[in-house]
Amino acid sequence: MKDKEVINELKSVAPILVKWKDNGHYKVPEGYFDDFESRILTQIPSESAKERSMNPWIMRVAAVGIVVLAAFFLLRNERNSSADTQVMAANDADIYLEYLKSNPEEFDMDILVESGLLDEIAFQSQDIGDEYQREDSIEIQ
Amino acid sequence: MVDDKTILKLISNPTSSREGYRILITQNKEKLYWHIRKMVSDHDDADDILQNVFLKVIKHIKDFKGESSLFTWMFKIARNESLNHVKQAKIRSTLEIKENFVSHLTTHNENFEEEASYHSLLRAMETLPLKQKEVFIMRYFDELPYKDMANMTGTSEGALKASYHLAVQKITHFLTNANLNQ
Repeated sequence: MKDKEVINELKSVAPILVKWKDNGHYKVPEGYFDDFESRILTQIPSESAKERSMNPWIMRVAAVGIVVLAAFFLLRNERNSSADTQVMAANDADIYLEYLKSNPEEFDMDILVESGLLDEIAFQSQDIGDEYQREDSIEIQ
Repeated sequence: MVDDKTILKLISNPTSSREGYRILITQNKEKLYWHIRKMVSDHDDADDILQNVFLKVIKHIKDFKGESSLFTWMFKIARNESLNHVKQAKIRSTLEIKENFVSHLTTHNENFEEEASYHSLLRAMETLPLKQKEVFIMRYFDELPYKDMANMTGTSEGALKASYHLAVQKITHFLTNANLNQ
């Protein structure tokens, strides 16, 4: 790489620059260049490690498999949970109707009509009305 | 000196690839280090960049098409890394770079006057535009032929010669003025 042309060039156009061409003015830690190769080579994986690492195609297939399995279990859980919800809803409806029958005064007429319990409840409220009537009559008296 | 063909053959064989890399690094580390060091001035920065350069070389050696020598190809990588570093460092602080330039010089030189003059040279280099400074380093310190420089930089030989001579003139002018002011 040494090029005498560079020195000759400088001698003619800028002799003041000839004397500083070496690297002696720069400080480099002692032994810096001695172990440089080792420092680089420790940062790269060895060929045997590369061989041990999985083929990218195998990794891709494995990833797809995991996604399919995860989707299968998620869907299955979703179906189960939807069935559970329906059972719970049925149970809730029974409890709701039971409560409706025993506490008709807490609900609007529309709800009673909608639930088909109006006749049954009307019969009960007739008894309740009689009782009220009796109480009223007592007060009048 | 092991030739490119032999090095590439060693690297292409899994059983000898590490030996090939070792030879590649040994033969080129100092030349690349000194170019990077002149560009960035600080040893630690130069060391980081040089390590990155060789890691990139190893990673992309399969992309090397043999259109130039291995050294030219690696020098291009080193050049890009150095330029990127200097650009980022300039954004951080131009002053910081100038201080680093001086603080990382050897201090055991007994000839104070010579050392002071050398500081002036480094300061003069810092006044050059980045590309002109790079051309100056490639020619003055690395002693690269213009033909190789043209290949590495993608600039014509004529433009490189003009750039170098302009840099030499500016530095000479700076040093002459510095001497007059002392």
